[in-house]
Amino acid sequence: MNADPADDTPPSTLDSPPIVTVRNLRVKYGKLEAVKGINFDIPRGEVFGFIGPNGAGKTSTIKVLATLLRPTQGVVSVAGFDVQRDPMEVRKRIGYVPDFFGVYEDLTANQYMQFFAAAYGVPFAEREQLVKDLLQLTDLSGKIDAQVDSLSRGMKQRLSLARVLVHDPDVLLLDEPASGLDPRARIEIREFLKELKSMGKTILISSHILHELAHLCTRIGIIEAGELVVEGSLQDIYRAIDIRRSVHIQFVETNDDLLKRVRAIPGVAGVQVEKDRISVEIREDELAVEDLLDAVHALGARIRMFQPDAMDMETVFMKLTEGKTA
Amino acid sequence: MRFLATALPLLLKELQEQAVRKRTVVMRVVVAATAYFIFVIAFSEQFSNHRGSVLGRGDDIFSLVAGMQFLAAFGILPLLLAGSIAHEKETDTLQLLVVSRMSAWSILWQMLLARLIPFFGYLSLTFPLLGIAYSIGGVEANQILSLAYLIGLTSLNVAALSIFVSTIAVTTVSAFIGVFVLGGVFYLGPAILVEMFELYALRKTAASFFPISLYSEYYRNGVWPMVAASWHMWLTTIGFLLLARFFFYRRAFVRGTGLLRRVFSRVDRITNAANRQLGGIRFGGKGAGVPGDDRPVRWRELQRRGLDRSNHTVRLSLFLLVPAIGGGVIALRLDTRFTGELLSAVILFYWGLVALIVTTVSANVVVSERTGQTLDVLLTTPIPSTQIIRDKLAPVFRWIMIATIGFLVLYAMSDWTRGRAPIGRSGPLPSSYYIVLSLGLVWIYLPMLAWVAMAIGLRSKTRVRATVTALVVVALWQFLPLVATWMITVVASSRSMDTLFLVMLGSPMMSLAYLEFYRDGIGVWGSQPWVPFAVTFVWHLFVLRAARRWCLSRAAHRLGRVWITGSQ
Repeated sequence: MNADPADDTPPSTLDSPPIVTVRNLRVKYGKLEAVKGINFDIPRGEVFGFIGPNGAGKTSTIKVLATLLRPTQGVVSVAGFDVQRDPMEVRKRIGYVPDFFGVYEDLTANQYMQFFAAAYGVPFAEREQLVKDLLQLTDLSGKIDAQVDSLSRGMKQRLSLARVLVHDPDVLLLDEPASGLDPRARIEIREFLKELKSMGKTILISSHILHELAHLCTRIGIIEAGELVVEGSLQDIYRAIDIRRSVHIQFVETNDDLLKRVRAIPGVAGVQVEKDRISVEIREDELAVEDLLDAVHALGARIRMFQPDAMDMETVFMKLTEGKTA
Repeated sequence: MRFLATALPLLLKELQEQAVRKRTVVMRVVVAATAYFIFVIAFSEQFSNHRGSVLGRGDDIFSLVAGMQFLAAFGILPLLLAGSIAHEKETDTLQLLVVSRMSAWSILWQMLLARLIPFFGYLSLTFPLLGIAYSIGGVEANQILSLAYLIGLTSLNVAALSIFVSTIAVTTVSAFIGVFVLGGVFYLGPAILVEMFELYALRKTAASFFPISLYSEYYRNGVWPMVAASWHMWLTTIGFLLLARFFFYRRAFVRGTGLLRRVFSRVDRITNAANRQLGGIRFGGKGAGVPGDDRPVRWRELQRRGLDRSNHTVRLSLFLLVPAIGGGVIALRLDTRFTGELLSAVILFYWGLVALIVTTVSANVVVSERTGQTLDVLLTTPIPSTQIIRDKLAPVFRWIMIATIGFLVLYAMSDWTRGRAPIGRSGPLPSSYYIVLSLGLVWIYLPMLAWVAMAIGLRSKTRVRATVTALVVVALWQFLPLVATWMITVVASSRSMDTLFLVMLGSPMMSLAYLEFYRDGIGVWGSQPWVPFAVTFVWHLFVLRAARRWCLSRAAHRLGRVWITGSQ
């Protein structure tokens, strides 16, 4: 785990044992095997992006972690508690946002929050201030007495996120928290999740909006047809599947000798000459983009444009998955 | 098929959905098996022992089949239709139908036909019995035509009433309660009013609102007078359909935000304003707007039904008690020789109403969370599963407490009005016996219904299924002991009245009716009138405890969360 997003994580948590452990998890619905023996760990304070097509087994896995589904086989633990043996202890340590709103439409935002504060055993005397603080954190202070039914989808989702924080859980399980939201609401949710990340919360988040996860996650797991295709930090995965990044360079003057010397730079996998520029493919584990710039500059070439292609999760996702379902 | 797909797509979809459902087949088998079983029990003796004697007795079989068909029209059809539009509203699919090219009339008719066609399929299962009746003689062709006309019209009438209620109801629960309450008032109300106010000149017209009584017109005057006497059924059918059309768009997007709570909060605003004007005098108490220290589920369930504040509870009590006690007072004021019977009728009607509410609400308390997609979130909290289930039933038990006041007043009135019926040969039943037995029935049957319906709701995935199954089970429960009594009498040739009486009281309805109507004693359990009631109390307490235990023993599993054996 060497990606820069980990810089937000408190250093003391990096060496601690994983807060979520999934070992050989299998989930069957009758004859259908939705999850086929997956394994992964989530260290404390990390944001784990769970990616996969519809029907891949993401929600089943999250439901097992949320103690809503009994695994057919395997061992799953949260904060050291086995979900099958100590479900009640697990529940005290998780906050779960399902892939639908799950809100009581006929309550006010205040009553909704107070209900869950009571459900998690928050003392009555502390509740009022806690609810105010959480609604302020999610920018819903002005809606404290509004009926949940009257809130927009984005507000309802923010209210759900405020709700999972009432008992200050160690682990947040967020199943598609941004689905069905407009761009502004998605950005608001993303910013809020970044805030939670900076607070040191461990978050497991599934989403289809991959570039949002790329900005947020310290680790990802890609699941398809019930099997974990890959798991690790984004950089590790790029490296593992040998995805090369293209960098477009426009020189003031291009000649064969310069191209020959660019090809000779260690870490350059190939060079393609285009009409007004060259496209250099690099192996990022050997040569960082910044180092390529230095190396080209050292060759004495005058550079008019230097533009690396974005390395996005969609590329990884498309490369690793085939669109199969369980 | 192509015609259906283009002209009546909703009808085709509904029929296709019903055709592939397992429960459609199960229902058909159950209906057919019940009909043939009753037939065999009723006529096996005549067919096996006195073959010659059955010739010309087709009328008996015909009457039995006709009775079963009318029972199905009043019992099964509302169950099929009450949830039709209301369920679409709950699942937010009605809006998809509304924005389609289908008109409101088209949607209503297709929904209606989608239930009537399978229902006529159920009725057709009894046709072979009608064939037997016709073949052994004693049945005229006109008789069969009259039955076909009347059962067809009755079905249409009940269907129109049901779809009208479904159109105005916001939830399937209110639709089911509404259909049976409105149906009871519509079909039986006129006859009861005529008897109460001794308007005997209107007796025939009032009775004709109950369609079975129209059938006697055929025997008296023939087919055409019977058809002529059914004019009001055509009129009311058209009326119900027009009302359904009128409310279709008006009620299509009404959200279920709790009518009572809205009424109460409006009243609160007025009383609070009055409080401000009058200084220290308070008309409305300030209740808990947020949950207390524990049991938030209980708070939520009481709050959503307007039972979380003491002043709301008092108002709701008045809302529930005024009609019951009012009915009793009217019966007393009339002071006819039937006052006692009228009071008994009011008591039984009140019983039916309270049992209907308890059953439908209990069946839905969990399944409504499931369909509203809020159950998963609730189940990830550390609230114990058994507490969730118990607290979910909190409003039901509060209603039972409120209803008890109504029962107490009605039973006191009834006891005051007349000398209590003797049980057996031991003389009149003392007042204390009557009151204690009656309240005992209230406090055993109603919680038992609540737990049985809760058990059914825990196994159901949709509100319609939970409600229909609970109502069917409760209805069967009323009749199965009677069938058992009949079987013992006919098949086992038992004439032991003591035993038969005990079996019969296995039906809660019979226990209540017995306590109300059997005035002269029937010669059983003469010196120990408490024995049959003790047995029925023990039996129903056993059922209550079994249902409760079933719900609570693996509560986590039944709610749908991870469970550990031995601890829920």
